Amino acid sequence: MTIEEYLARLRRSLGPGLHRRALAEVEAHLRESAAEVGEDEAVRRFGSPEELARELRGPRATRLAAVGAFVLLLSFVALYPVAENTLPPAPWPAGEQPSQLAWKQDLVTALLLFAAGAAAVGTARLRRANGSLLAATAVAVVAGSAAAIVGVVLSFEWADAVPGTPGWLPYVGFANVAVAAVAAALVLRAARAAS
Amino acid sequence: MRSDSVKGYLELLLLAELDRGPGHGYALIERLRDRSAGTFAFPEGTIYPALHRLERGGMLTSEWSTGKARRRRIYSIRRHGRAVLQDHLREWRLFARAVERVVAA
Repeated sequence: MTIEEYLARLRRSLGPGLHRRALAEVEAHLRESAAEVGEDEAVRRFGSPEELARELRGPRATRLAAVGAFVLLLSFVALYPVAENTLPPAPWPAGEQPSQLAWKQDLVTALLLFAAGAAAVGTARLRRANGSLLAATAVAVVAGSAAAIVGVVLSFEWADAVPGTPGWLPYVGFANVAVAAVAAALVLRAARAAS
Repeated sequence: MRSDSVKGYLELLLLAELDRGPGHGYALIERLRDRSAGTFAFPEGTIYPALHRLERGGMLTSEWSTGKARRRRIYSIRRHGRAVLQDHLREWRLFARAVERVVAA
C-alpha cells in the first residue's frame, strides 16, 4: 500500500469532521519513515488505518455527544423565561394545582436536576473524553430526553386546563424532543466509536 | 514483546521519554525502540492517539516546528505531566516488585 492509499483509507475511516492535524502528523511520520525503510515497510509498521481511525475518532465523538447534552439542557433553560413571560396565570389558587399536572411538573424538574448533575460530573471529565465522560453524558441525555417527553404531555394537558394558553406551547415541547433525539443519536455514535 | 502488553504502558513510556526532552512522533518511536533495544515494537500509528490523549489531559503541550523542510509536531512535557509521571512510576515500581515476588516465589 502506498502512503497516499493509506491516507485515503484513514480519511475514509475517520469520516466527517476535522482531522487535519492528525492526518498531517500521520503523513509527516510516514514520509520520514519511508525515507529510511521504504514506503511498504513504513506503512506496514504504522498499523491498520481502520484501527488508528477508531482510536482517533472515539474521544471526538464523545466530546460531540457531551456538547449535544449541553445543548439539550440549554434548550430547557431557554424555554423557562419564555414560559414565564407568555403563559397566562393559572386559574387555581396557589398550592391547589391539579394533581395530574403537579406530579408531571415535579417529575420534569427532578429529571432536569438529575440531568444537570450528570452534566456537571461530565464537565469535570471533559478534557479526558474517556468512558466516565461518555457514561455521564448518556445519563444526562436519558434524563433530559425523559424530561422532554413528559414535558410534551404536560404542555398538552396545561393547554387544556389553562384557558388562553398559546397554541405553540406543545411545539416548543416537540422542539425539545427533537434536540433530545439528536443528543441521543450522538451518544449512540460515541458509544459505537468507543466499543 | 506483544504489542498489547506495550500499549498498556504507552502513556507512561511516552511521558518518561518526553521528560528527557521534547520530540515529534517519529523521533519518539525511534527513541523508544533504541532505548528498549528493539523490545518495544508496536504499530507506530498508536503513538498519536496516546499523544493526543496526554495533551488533552494537560500533561503535554505541542506545536508545529518551523524552519525545517518537513513540518513536524513537537511535543513537550508540562509540569502536570511530570507529576503524573512520578505517580505512574511509583505505581509501576510497586507493581513490578509485587509481580517479581510472586513469580519468583
